[in-house]
Amino acid sequence: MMIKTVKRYPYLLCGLLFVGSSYAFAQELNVTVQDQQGKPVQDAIVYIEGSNVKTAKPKVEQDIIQKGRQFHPLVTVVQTGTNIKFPNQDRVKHHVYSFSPAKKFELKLYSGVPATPVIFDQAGTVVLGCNIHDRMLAYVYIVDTPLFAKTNAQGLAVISDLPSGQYKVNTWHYALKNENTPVAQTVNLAEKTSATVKLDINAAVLVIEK
Amino acid sequence: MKFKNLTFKSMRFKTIQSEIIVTFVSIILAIQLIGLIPIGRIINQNAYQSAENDLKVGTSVFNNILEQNTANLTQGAKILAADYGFKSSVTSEDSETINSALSNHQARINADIAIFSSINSDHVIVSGNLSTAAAAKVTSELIAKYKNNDESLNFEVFNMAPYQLVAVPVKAPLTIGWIIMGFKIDNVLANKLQQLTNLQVTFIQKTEDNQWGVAGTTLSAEHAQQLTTATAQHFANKKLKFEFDVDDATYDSSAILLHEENTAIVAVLQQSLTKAMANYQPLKTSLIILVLIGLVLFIVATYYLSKYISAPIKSLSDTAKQLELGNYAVEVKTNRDDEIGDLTQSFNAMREAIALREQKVSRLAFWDETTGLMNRIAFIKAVNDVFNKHGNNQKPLAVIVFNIDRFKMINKILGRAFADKLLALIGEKLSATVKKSTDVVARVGADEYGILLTDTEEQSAMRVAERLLAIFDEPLQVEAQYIDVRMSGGVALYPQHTADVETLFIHAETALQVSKIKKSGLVLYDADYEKEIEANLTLVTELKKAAKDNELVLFIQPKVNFENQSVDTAEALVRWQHPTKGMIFPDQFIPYAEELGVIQEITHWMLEEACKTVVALKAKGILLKIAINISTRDLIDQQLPRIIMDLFSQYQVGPEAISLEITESSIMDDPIRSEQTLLKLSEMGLNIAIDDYGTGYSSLAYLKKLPVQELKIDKSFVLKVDQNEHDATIVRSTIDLGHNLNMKVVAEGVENQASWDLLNSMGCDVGQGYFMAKPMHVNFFEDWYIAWCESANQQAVKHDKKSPLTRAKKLDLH
Repeated sequence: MMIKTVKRYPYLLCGLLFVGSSYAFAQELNVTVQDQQGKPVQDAIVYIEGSNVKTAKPKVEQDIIQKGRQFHPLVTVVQTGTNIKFPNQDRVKHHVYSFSPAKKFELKLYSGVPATPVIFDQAGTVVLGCNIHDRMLAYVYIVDTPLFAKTNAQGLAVISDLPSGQYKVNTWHYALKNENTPVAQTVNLAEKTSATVKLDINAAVLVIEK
Repeated sequence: MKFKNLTFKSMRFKTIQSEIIVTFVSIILAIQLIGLIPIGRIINQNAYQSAENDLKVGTSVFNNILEQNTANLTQGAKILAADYGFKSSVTSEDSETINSALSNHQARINADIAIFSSINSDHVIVSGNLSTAAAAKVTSELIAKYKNNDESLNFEVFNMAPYQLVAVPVKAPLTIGWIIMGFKIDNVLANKLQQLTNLQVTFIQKTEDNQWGVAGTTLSAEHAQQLTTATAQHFANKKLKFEFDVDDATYDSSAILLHEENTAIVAVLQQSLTKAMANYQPLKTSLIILVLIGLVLFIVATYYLSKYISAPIKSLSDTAKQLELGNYAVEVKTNRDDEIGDLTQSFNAMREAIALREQKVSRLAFWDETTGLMNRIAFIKAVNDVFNKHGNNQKPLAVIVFNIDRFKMINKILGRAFADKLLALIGEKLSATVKKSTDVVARVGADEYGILLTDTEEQSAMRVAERLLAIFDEPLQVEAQYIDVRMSGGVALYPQHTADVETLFIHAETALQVSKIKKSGLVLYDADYEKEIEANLTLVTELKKAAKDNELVLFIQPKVNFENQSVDTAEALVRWQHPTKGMIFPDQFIPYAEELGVIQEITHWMLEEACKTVVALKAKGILLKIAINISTRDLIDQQLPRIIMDLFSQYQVGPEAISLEITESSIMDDPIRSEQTLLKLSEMGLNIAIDDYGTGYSSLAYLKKLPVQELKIDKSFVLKVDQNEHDATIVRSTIDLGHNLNMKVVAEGVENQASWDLLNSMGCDVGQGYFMAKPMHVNFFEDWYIAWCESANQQAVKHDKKSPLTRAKKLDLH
């Protein structure tokens, strides 16, 4: 069983203070995300923003598939400007939509893969739904940085290829009680390459995936 | 019965019947009532239970309907919330579109209000008669509840009006806002609920400023207002079940708290207990009717039972009262075998026994055993009854009283048994002769009969009386023995003689008395008799004096010997030289003197006068023996021989001076004492004669025993002896009889020569009568005697036996 984190509204991303110092050494940052009880939190988004972060081109395409009347994955994190395709692997049709300000769109009843992908060109949170199946829900978190990761079932997110230095590490989860405000933490890679982030999780909002 | 004593100690019943009825009816009434109380309670309980059930079911239905309403509202709101276009409108914050969508869906489900609220309630759109501001506050509260998954029925007060509300989130897919829909709680809802629950429904709300008011009701405004006040009170006491009284109805009420915060909404459901009771009214009515019918049947049954028990007792009691009054004829009928039957039979036996005894007693009291006739009391009563019966319309009546002459003698001589039979026979004869059934014959004295003749005038009364008297013309036969009975009778008439019953009888007896004295057979009452009797009574009183005062005069009538016409004896007779009334003959006072006991004085006077006369005549050379009549009373008087002895010694005379004459009847009154006296007198040497022989009943056998030397034939046989063969036969046989008994026979009442000759030829010894001499004053006797002797001597010479008559006429000196 996997834990899929859910978030309600898209939010403006908070600025992340980045203090770059030893950029020369590419390093790995392991961030463990835990809830109030210290349990690992899955589907948390860990991303690093700052002036010392070199801009890279986003991945061209991502897939959010619909299968078993569910979106997969539950939480998707993409860099601004990423195209996302919505292949429908169910035999029923879906009508995918978003009323989120970061990206409003709808893919009217379709089967298979729509012709054109949807481009997510604005940072924020987009909540996806299906007009046919109310229970279908997915989050797309759009960040203005290529440095991001999603926690696994053990609550661990790994951001690799980091030059050493001091970074502002943001952590967001769809079930955050203070839902639109990511938790920020400053990490000096020279001192440590791992960090633990504690989140105030609204357990009621957690989506339990099958 | 202990029970009875306990229960009815203080009650007194006049009749057993009422006692039984009251006792049993009270018991059955108590049982019925005791039965009715729990039944009534059960009915009430059932009515309550039924109302309670109605209320329970109604409440359940009520809740279902409200839930249904909620479901309807939810359904309507969800449809809107799920609408993609609506979601789109919301995200685009297109207020007008949202409002129109709300109106549209509100109308679809007939909701009274529809509201959209943004997730933070900072954006509220209202469709309905409500301001946004008023709605905002309530919506946030409502949404908060829903967020906490409290999706129960929700009621809120908006703007002073209560609503049933639902809130439904608008999801896209996360919640982006809320749709709130609601029905207003008002009379319309109350009426609809009433139709479905069959209960009275009232919604009451409490506003924020703690004011209670009616939101909707099925009751009248006035009742609803009262209910609100009552509910507010109960609500303050946390009492949700209560009874509500209004006017003439009682409601079982159940309050349901729909909402309570600052405001409150209470639904009061009510079932009319009165109505529930009313459902049982026919049952109650029929129960009461059944009880009444039962009671009536029981009373009727008890009535007849008690009557069955008490009627014979009452009948016995009534009969006992009748017995008390002397009515023994009432028989109490019974065909019962129980104790009452036994009692009745015993009672009847007792009644008959008493009747029999009473009859005996009354027979003794009112009936004469001997004759089977009424007695004196009954006779007087019978006369009275006839009077009372006819009242003022009284017809004439007659009362006759008959008395048997010399009955005492019959009784003595023939014996009591014989006399009784004679009395009975006379009674029978009298009864047989009296014709009318209303006439009454009674024995009113020892020898006296009373006869009442109804509706009878003087003539007819006398005719009947004569006829009755005629019965005794012939001798009566008793036990093969014939007896000559003479009767005296007195008759009194109503209204001729008296208007009074008592007096009528007394008058008849007076007439009888007169008849007795005068020996006149039948006497009709005359008012003069009263005076006469009174006069006679006076006479008797005077007579007592007369003996002392020398008013009495001694007369003598010579007795002549047939053989030689010599006179050696004379019978003494008394006359009364009354100072005012002149000479009174013995017939007029001797009977009274005998009757009233003055006769002894007269006898004594005569004895003395006789002695004097004899002595005086003797002095003149005439030897005369004077015969004195001795009455019954004298004979009974044991002193008589001594008195005579005294006189003899006083006047120096002996038995040659005096002889005695007694009647048959005078002996019979007291034969033993009379015989004793006679024996003494005879021993004294006195000559004793039986006077008036032939009128009595004495047998010669009896006479033979008496010391009697002379028999005087009653003048009734002698007066016409010369003309009447029958008399002559009697006289002759009497003379023979007397001679056979060695008695001298004297004939009284010799009035003519023919009689004298006949008697002489019959051998009669002595004659006495007017033919020879009338009674004469003693003073004239001497002259008469001398004349008689001279004549006798001449006759003796001439042998002319007819001469005494002529001489006697010549010598009639008185």
